[in-house]
Amino acid sequence: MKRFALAAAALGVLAAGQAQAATGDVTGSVTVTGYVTSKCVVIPNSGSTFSGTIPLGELADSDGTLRADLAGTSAGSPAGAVNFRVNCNAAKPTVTVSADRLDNGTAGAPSGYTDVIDYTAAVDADLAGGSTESTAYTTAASLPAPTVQQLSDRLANASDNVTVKVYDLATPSGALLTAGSYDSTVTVVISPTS
Amino acid sequence: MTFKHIILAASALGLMAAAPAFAAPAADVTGTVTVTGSVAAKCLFTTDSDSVVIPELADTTGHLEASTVNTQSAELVGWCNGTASTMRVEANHLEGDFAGSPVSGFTDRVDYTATATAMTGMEGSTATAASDSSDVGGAGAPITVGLFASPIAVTFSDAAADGRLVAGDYEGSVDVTLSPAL
Repeated sequence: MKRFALAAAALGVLAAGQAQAATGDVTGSVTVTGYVTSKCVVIPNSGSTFSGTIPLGELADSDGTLRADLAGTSAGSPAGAVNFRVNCNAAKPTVTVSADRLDNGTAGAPSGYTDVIDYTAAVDADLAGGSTESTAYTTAASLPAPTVQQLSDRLANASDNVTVKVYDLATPSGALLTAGSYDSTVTVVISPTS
Repeated sequence: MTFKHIILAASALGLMAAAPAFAAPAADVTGTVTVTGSVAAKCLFTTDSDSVVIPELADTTGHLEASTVNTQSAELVGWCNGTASTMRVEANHLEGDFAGSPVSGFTDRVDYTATATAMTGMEGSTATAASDSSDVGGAGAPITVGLFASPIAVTFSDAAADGRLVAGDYEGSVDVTLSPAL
């Protein structure tokens, strides 16, 4: 009798096991995804624009021609510069630079005079690897197409990682500058894509 | 919910998760840097003096030989970079070095008109002149020369003296003034 009872118990276990297998298991699999949009932003405020001014002051020497110290400026010793911070998460952002001539807005200048000044505008980008790459644009009577350069590395995650500077100002030899206020605009686009 | 329903629901979630990664545009930043400067209005003489030497002022009758003055000329060179710049002239009469007062019928003063002419305009081809008579005190009316860079010719006319000229050395001057303005 005791043996019968054990057998019945064993059957009971078997019966119970068969009942679960018949119901069937389900397995759920949930994939968790996310993404980071390729972008560049201006710090602070994560904006999409930045602006600044490079005031050059008096442009003429006492003899009326372009100041010699402005004409003699170079990429390494610019006439003026202003810094910004731009954060980009792209591997190799693209920098585009263009500018117009320094102009006092008058309608032409008489013989021996000029009311426009050409110059070079450049954007220095500090890179994550520690180097700096420069993208330069030089104005002319017929403005060339914007200069476009893809950087070789990520932008450095650091303050003042973008510098806009101007140098190598030029007028026709011996030309006198007409009196007045001169201004020009340098436009810079930093794109996360090439 | 059947197994089929579960598969469909999971697929839909997968599409929703993937879609934004393709739809989101790349974000550029644009910077604008204004470069400014100015040029002050100024005028400058690159040649600021000249001299006129008249060997003999009087004719054989002792009176002024006007042509000896009226045929003279001098040249200065200058420029102004402001559109409203002006030029004015002040003629100072020729005066002899006679110490006393000339007796009746004689004089030690010669008056004249001085005219300064600059070449102005876009091509530097417009003659713009200012003048002054020495018998009227002070400078003549200023005239606008604007932007120019040229020689300034100084000429003489209307020379006159009220009597025979006292012997001696005579000296006068013409002052040309350029005033910068925008």
